[in-house]
Amino acid sequence: MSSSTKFLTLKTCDDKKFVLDEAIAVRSQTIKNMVEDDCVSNVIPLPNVDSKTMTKVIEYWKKHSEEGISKDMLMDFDKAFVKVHHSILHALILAANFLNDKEMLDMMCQEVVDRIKGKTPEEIRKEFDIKNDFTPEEEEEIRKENAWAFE
Amino acid sequence: MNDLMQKSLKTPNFLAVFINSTSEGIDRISYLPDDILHNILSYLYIFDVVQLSILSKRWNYIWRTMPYLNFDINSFGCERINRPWDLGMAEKFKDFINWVFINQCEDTLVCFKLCCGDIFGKGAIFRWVRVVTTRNVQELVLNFCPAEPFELPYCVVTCESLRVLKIRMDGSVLKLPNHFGFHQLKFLHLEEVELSNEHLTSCLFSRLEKLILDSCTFGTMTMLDIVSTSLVYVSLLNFVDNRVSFVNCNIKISCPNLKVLKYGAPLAKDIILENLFSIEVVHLFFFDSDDVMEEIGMCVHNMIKNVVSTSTLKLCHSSIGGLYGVFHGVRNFPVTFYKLKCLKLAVAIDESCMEVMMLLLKHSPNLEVLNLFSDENYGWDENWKLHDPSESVVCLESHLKLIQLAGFKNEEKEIELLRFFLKNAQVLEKLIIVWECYNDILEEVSDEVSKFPRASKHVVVSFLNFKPKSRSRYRDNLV
Repeated sequence: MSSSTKFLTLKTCDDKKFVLDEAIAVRSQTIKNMVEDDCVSNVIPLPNVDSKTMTKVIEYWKKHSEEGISKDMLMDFDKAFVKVHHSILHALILAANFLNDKEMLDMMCQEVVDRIKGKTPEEIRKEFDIKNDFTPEEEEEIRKENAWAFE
Repeated sequence: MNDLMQKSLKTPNFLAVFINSTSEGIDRISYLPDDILHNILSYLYIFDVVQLSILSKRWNYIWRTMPYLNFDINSFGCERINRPWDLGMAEKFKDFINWVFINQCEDTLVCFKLCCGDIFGKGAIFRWVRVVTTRNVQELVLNFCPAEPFELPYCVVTCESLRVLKIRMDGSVLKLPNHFGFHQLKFLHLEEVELSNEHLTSCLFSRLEKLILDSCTFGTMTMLDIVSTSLVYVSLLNFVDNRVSFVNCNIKISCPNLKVLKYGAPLAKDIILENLFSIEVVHLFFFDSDDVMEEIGMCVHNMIKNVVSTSTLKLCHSSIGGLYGVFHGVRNFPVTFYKLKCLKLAVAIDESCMEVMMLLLKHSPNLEVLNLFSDENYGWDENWKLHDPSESVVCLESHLKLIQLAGFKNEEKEIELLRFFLKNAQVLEKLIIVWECYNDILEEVSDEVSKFPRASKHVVVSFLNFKPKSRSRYRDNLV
């Protein structure tokens, strides 16, 4: 890699363009592979990420690439970063998965699990709008089968 | 580009619909791909994952294919269930583990963790370990207290999928086999284990990259021989008082590709470093009383001679005190750290520590960052000089950009030290002072320090408040 700053243009699914320092963009393993394989022409299309989500991702990448930032500051940033609506959190998870940024994905998954922990199944269904598609008979069978967890 | 295409094929099409949707009442979570849901649930004990099977058919499927199995006896009688501990609990827990194995689809396992104290005999543990190795487990974590020396099952040694092995045994003896094995193991983490094999790496772990020995003891071993061409990271920690075990054992580390070496333990009988050509980070922390200061000094002296190419060096207070014993009054230091960029020292602001600090600064011509953690300060005699102006300190003149002093107590000698840095560090960009946690924060002190004459025009002086760290992170910080 050359020492001079190189910029990449990323294009999201809603046709918005983001110009980003390559050194930051390669936090995404997906982009990194493309850069290394020399598949990058002018614009990198990100067909699975919208611009609203990408803005958040870039905000995260830039903060985590800041020089001399302390661990404490990053922890505070991360804490605030994940406190978003379910819909944004899910978009970020899919984006992190598509972009293959494990650190970010793990942090998001941790947040989802924090939202699950300590809740009864009924509360979880309500929180995440999960539809119970078992028939009463099926549910009864699962309960019997998994009696360990429900006794 | 190929990767991108494959990735987008892998993600189901219906996802695109809800990415753009902002309406409520949509079950987004259930439509996440299996591997993401598994990742999310990997933070839970498997017991809690089973509970989620009742949510819907999708979640029932997710638990049956869950590749992360985390069993913990303490959480088994968890608060939510409020199951009181009784003698039957061990049996129930055993049945539960067996039941999970029976009810899972026999897919590849990513991780198997078992924390079970002393409730199970060897037989049960062997059986489960056998099952997970046949399911191509990649990470195996065992935390238990065997009543007798524990010999690692052969199936673990020969498991071709195993990448990570962590064993914690409450001080029991671990017997590693003598034959070849662990062909793919990258990370070995042993905690509270009594080692019984002298040669931890050379033949047994041919691909091992990271080795952590935390609170391990050496039994009757007189030599711990860590020789490896694959090792990149070695950490030897022992904060429990195990001096007896260390004092009788020599430690030899000969790893040409080692980048990180962290030692945080009592002083071993001898520590021999060899062939550390690739070393980048060295942390030394000796958990000892003052009566072995001289030995620590000699040992640190020998160690640093063999890590001259390091870019980060962190030394504890005892190391510095020991070095003072060796180098007091001596102007010639045995080595010059040409590659050293970051020096971290736990010091007292007193004559001995400052003398060693100045010696290290003089022999680190390219140093960019200096971090000082000061605890107790004893100051120094009025006639003692921090620095002889006729001697040049190259890093102060041309490289040192950041200096941080943590544990600032607003004492006279600390202020004098700050004055010295501002006066002499010609390219300094940042001077950060962190107040000691119990000290009152005084605005006038920061005003006074900001007015000191400066050699560098660009320097920014900032005073920060102490920020408490969680216990585990505090411990990390020691080493």
